[in-house]
Amino acid sequence: MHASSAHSAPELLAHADDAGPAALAPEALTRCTTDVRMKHAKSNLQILVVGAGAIGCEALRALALCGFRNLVVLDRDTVAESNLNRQTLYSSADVGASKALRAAQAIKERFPGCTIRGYWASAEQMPVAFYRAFDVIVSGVDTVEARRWLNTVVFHVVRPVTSPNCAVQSKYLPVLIDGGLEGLAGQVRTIRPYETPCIECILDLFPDEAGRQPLCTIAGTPLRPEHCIHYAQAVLWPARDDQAVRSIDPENPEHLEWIYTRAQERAAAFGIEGVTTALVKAVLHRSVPALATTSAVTGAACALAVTRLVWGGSHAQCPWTSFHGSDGLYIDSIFIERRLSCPVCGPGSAVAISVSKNMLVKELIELLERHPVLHCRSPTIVWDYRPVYMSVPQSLKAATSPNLERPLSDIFISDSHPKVPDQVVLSVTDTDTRTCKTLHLFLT
Amino acid sequence: MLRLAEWKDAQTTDDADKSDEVRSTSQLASTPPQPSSQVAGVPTPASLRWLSQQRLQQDLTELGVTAPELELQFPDLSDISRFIVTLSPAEGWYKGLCFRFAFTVLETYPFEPPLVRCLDAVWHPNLDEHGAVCLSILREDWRPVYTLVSLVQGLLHLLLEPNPNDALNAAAAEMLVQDPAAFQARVHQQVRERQYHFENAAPP
Ligand SMILES: [Zn+2]
Repeated sequence: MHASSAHSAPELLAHADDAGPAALAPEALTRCTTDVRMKHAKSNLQILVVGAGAIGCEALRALALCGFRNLVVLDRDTVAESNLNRQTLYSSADVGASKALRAAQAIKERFPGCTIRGYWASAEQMPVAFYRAFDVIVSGVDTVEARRWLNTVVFHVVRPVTSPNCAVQSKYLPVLIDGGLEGLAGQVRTIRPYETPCIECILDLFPDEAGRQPLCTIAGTPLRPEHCIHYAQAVLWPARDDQAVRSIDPENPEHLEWIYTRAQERAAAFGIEGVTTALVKAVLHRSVPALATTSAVTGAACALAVTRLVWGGSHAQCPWTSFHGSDGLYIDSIFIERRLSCPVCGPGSAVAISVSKNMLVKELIELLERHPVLHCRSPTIVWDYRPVYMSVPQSLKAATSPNLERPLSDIFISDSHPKVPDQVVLSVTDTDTRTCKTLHLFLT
Repeated sequence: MLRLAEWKDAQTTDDADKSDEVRSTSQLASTPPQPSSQVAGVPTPASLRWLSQQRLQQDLTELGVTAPELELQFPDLSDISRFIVTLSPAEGWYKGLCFRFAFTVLETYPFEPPLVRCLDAVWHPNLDEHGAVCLSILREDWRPVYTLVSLVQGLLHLLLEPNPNDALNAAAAEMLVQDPAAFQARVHQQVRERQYHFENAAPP
């Protein structure tokens, strides 16, 4: 574990707009006063809010109230009747309309000086380059998967701060501010790339939101309609004859129908009522109950985290704010260290190398062992789930050893990739430390 | 600091093919835009699939280093996410028997546990005839910190010490508690049947 800034960022692929000295000297930050910096931040900081749900609505309102003038909001959903109790930017007239567009409109009406744009799209639909434009990304998404995705995107577009007059006290931008809630508890994490832990560093700390039930209960003594749905999902689905489709897609009507029918049959056998398509959907989507007060506090705390980035000081050193509504009002900030072995932000996590197409796999391995950043001991190499070379386990070693004598141009060809690519992305594991690195290999 | 208005100009050439789509979304389109046309299926660092692949690679490396004698089969050598682990307990009710467990590691791993099915169903309180396995760390007790090594240890423990208090096959659990001799006899009978089955199935 290491948290100080002594660790430099991994050797990033150079982008045209990333050029310049890497880090900002600390004394440069104190050159302008807090007031000047705040004024500059309010009119210049480009802030993206991902998700215009409970947290997103509150965060947008709080950011606008703080005086931030350049906002963008992204959400793929439409307003539903059930959202209105806690998603405070919408009224009943908005039901069925795009959340992002309505939220942008509502903010524009209430804060005439604010420039806000709404995009009716999911975060994944936007090209990665879109995210380069922002200094701060506030995330109000509701799944761990979406958080991890956004986190990797941030590290994909991360750029060093080059201007000494930068309003944000971070060495790299964009800063990710991640709000999350579950029932009466809320959390806000500030991720300053390479300075504070990223989502992937702290993945172990997330609650298990999957709502998995003990298999024995749902198999032996189902009591509730949810148990029948879990049974269909966990026992009957994997035992189907058709193994072509591995996991259930809650958006696929055929999958929903299949689970619904099996759950109905099981519910009937045990005399349980209440299996509905809506419940099947809710169970498969793992919906968590949300409360208006928690989302209001969490959304406001996200906006506070943005202002903390400008103020700096000791508050900025505590990247994690948690709120516990169940024990009365209790807000606390804690400090968590980065994880050195993190595959997203760990040192040396991404490296670019240019090699000849004719290089043999064994020569590439020697190169990786000698490489100043990677220096992997007997590396294992995987390309798109294909083992290029793995020295362990035994069965893979036996299967991939013949590859050692083959040239790279031979390896990176398959039915789905008929032509030798100019660039491949490999993952490389050191068998001693078991750390994993991303290798961008340019073939010439 | 880059202004939003400028970001289109600042795009590097590799993003040029997507800029049309970007422009259409920036005009507040009335319908959601279509997903961007990235090369389907190839993991890029900005995907969960990529992180899942890296974690799986780390886990397989750990498994190979810590348990070099473990039998691991990969039916498809272009996909390391599906494999078969063979376990044979050295003692207990199932001594001398081989059990094959088919693992499917999803693209949400390690957030979701791998799917594990037993290919050699036997009279066992925590296994059923479909191959379902009742092991808490495969379901409600799964945590992303666990690795394939934890799962292999858990499965081996299940074979060494069946848990009748957490039963998937209630009849087997009851028999194990009420009449251990009958339980052992039933297991042995299944073993003989299976060997007989294997002998018959062997090619001439
Ligand atoms: Zn990290």
